[in-house]
Amino acid sequence: MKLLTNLIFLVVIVGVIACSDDKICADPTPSPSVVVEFYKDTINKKTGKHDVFKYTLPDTLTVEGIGADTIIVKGLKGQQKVLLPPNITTDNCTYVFTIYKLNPKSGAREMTKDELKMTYKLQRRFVSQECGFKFNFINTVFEATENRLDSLETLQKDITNEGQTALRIYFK
Amino acid sequence: MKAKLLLGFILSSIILLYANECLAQDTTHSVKPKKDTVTYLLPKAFTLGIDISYPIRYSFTKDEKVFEVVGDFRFNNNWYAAAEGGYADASKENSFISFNTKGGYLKLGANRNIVKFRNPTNNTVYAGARGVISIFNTDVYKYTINQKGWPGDVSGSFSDNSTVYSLEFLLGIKVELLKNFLMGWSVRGAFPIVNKNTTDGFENLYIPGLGFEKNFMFNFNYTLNYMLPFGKVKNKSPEVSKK
Repeated sequence: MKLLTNLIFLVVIVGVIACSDDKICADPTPSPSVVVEFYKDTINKKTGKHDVFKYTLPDTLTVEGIGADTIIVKGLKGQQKVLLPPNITTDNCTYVFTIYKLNPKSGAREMTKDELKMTYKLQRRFVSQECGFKFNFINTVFEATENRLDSLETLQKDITNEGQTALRIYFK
Repeated sequence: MKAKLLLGFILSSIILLYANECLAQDTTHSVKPKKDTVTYLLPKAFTLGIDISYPIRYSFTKDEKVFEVVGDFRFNNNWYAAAEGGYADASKENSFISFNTKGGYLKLGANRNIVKFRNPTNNTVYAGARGVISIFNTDVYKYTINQKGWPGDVSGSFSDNSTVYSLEFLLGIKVELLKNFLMGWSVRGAFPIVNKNTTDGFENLYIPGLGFEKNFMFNFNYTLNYMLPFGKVKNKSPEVSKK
């Protein structure tokens, strides 16, 4: 009988652990952002071939969504990557890239602005009991003006997580 | 809150276990170590009962209303066919998702007595297994999705029907308090076997008969039962009849 009592105690203790209090959502905004990396594509003068490399923008960068309530990047130098959360209340959104470049000759700051527009289809996906649902962004199409930006390369059209780069921006 | 409730059940379990031992004192000294020393044959019996743990739990948590009927049929000293059936109505709310699940369940399986008593008794300590079918509707009456950096949110609702098949293992005890009236409880662990996600990957957050979704779906019941025996205790050997 003692063995049985111990056995039942063990089962009940496991049960108490299983009945632990409800968890709290660790990420209340689980929809993924678009991971954008900066690149540069130049012609190697020695070999004459294209030289593609990750580009750390030496200039001051500000990135802001039109209609957004938070500035993603606010006047920072040395940026190589930026995470852009798409707007979930519509099927498209536009981010403005404002770059201030110091002219070494005149010493003046020159400003350029580019707009990056993304259009997508919202796909609702369940996350967990604590966090509810999120949106994935399917068939995403990127378009951009080409003032300071040179070109775009889409790596992921379906944005389901932030583990992989979705877009490469090539700078002039 | 649940932990406190469980603590109550632990204490009542100890009382039950010792009560069982005390009840057995005048007729039963200890558990028989050898199988072939049991010299009686219990009659076939049908037992029907209701679970009283769910109303108690509801008074604490308010998130789960369940009515459960239990029954078993004793074939011999060791084996019982057992079933539980019920209807559940459970809800949960938080900032991101609020849902209500309503539906029925049926558990079918067997119990095996794991303690041999020296003398005839309707008390039993058993291990068992069940196949469980749960058929239910989940109404996600509000979900809200927020996005970092952007104002506003997206809200919506939907409803889904599901059928889940599960396997459940249990350990339980039944004690005859009055003639043919038994009190019993069991602790249970369940594993959904067929549990398909529904709308947009939505998981069944509550499964009637098993409870709210967790890694290990622990449950217990606490029952009041009436036993209807079909006959009387028979002796296997002449010596026992002298007692």
